[in-house]
Amino acid sequence: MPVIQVDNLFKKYDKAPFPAVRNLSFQVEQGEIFGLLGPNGAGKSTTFKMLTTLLEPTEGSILILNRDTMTSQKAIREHIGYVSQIGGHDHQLTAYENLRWISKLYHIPRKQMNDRIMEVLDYVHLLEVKDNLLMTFSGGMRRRFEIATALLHHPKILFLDEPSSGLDVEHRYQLWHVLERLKREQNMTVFLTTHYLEEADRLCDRVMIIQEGQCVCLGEPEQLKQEVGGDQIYITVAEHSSVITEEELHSKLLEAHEQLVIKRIQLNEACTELRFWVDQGHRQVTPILDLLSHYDVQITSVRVTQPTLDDVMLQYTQRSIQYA
Amino acid sequence: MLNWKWLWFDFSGIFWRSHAQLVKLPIYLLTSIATPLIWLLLFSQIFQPVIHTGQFSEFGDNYLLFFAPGVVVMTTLFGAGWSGMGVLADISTGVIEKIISTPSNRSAVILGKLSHQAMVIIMQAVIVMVIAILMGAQGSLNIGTALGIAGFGYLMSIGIAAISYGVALLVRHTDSMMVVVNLSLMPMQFLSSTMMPMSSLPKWIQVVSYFNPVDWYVVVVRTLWLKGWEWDILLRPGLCIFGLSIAGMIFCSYVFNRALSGDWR
Repeated sequence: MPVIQVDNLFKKYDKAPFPAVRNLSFQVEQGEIFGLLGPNGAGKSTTFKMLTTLLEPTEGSILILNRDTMTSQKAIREHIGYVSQIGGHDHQLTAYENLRWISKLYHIPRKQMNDRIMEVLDYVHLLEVKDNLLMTFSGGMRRRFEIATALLHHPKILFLDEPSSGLDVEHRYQLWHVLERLKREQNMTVFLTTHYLEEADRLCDRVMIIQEGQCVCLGEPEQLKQEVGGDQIYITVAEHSSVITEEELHSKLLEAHEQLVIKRIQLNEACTELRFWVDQGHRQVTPILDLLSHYDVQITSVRVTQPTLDDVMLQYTQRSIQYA
Repeated sequence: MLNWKWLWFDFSGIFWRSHAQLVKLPIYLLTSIATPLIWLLLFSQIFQPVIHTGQFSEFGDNYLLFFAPGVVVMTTLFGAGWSGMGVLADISTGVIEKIISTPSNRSAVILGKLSHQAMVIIMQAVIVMVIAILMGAQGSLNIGTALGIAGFGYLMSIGIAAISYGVALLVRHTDSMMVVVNLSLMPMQFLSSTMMPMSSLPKWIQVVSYFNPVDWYVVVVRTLWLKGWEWDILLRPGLCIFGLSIAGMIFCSYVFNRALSGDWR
């Protein structure tokens, strides 16, 4: 049973010429970390707000924990944790004081309130600074504090809108560690929007890329990366090397190694870099170098890379722009 | 079905938050006390000579007896009228978004914030009353009438502040809000008997003031301060103030919910 079920979601703001979100359908399973990616203005925040009951869809339906966001907003809010992009706390109050008033809005009984506040602060490693004013917290501490506020009421789903936006590498890693622990120890479902593809790659079980409010691809990061074209081998050659055409290389390689699958070869304009798209790149390096050794080619460097979500993102968003 | 315990949690959570903010910002507390005192101590001194113009006969030779109730009214009007600026700050820092993402009851949350605002205004009014008494303007003020002024002050603050919150949620920008508040509060103040007795005001202002919430409150405070519980004078403005507080709450709750269910971004 999915904990988030979205069907044909459509949102058009009153005065906007185009819909912000159109025909979006997807599901998120219990315990999954699901990432919503897309360029600026793609409709990520609008989708996020509709899922968290802060915005009503124009059409379509959203079921959160089997409850409709249009009719059961309050019941849904009792079971979701919400971390927005801009925080939402009083910087002139301490971490404890902030958690105190927020815990009341989550209807946490007075007797349990203190223990629960200590528990969540400890979970995000902020217990020692509970009496410090929030204005003295670093950006990373604030983000971890915001996650603490969203965990106060034992939510089943945690929604995070661009959680590591503006954080340096160290604080980003600390945040990721907290999210990974939530999944591992509490089987928490996490829905996050991000434009850090490295973040999505590391954290997410599945990602959905949206462009102009529409889904352009959905799947596991590894699967999407493979679909983009497998590994890439970059071979840099000296400028005076003899000229080889892509077609010639391709046919010679296939003649010499029948089982070799080369999806694509590209030679740059200066004829100084060869780029091969292959599966299992590390195994293909030797036969390619063997073949090149028969030519008057002076190899200066060899590099094997795997596709990243950046490649996926670029491919899908560019493609959809072309088709638009 | 309403869960009263949870409503209390929502109300007290926001009330406590507002109180914690106030305590952390002593400059705000100081300013909120100093402003009415400046009105009371300086303004009354400057205008003391007008008592001899013959228009203030019912106040004897003490201008402060006429003016002190006006200071209570102005403190309430400006304190409540500008309170929407706090809502704008809460919007910009994401606090409103955080609040509406919780299962809290919107009306209880609004009432919690409004009630704290009203409590601060009542504190200011009490300070004004104490200073005025010390300066010899006791009139008919006693515990009972002072409580009456505080009670009506609570309703008046709730009404005006609720409208201010609602307007803030509609305009969403500080500059626009300042224009709206300035263009509303100043005429409301001058189209009432806050500064001059009603009998000395032009006829058209007397007509307009009949519908002016500020004048309702001026009549209530001045009557309680000078004459005590004169219900034949207090009934109409008192009921109007009660109606204003209810209407303000309904307006504010409506705008709050509409902002939520509509294009909140």
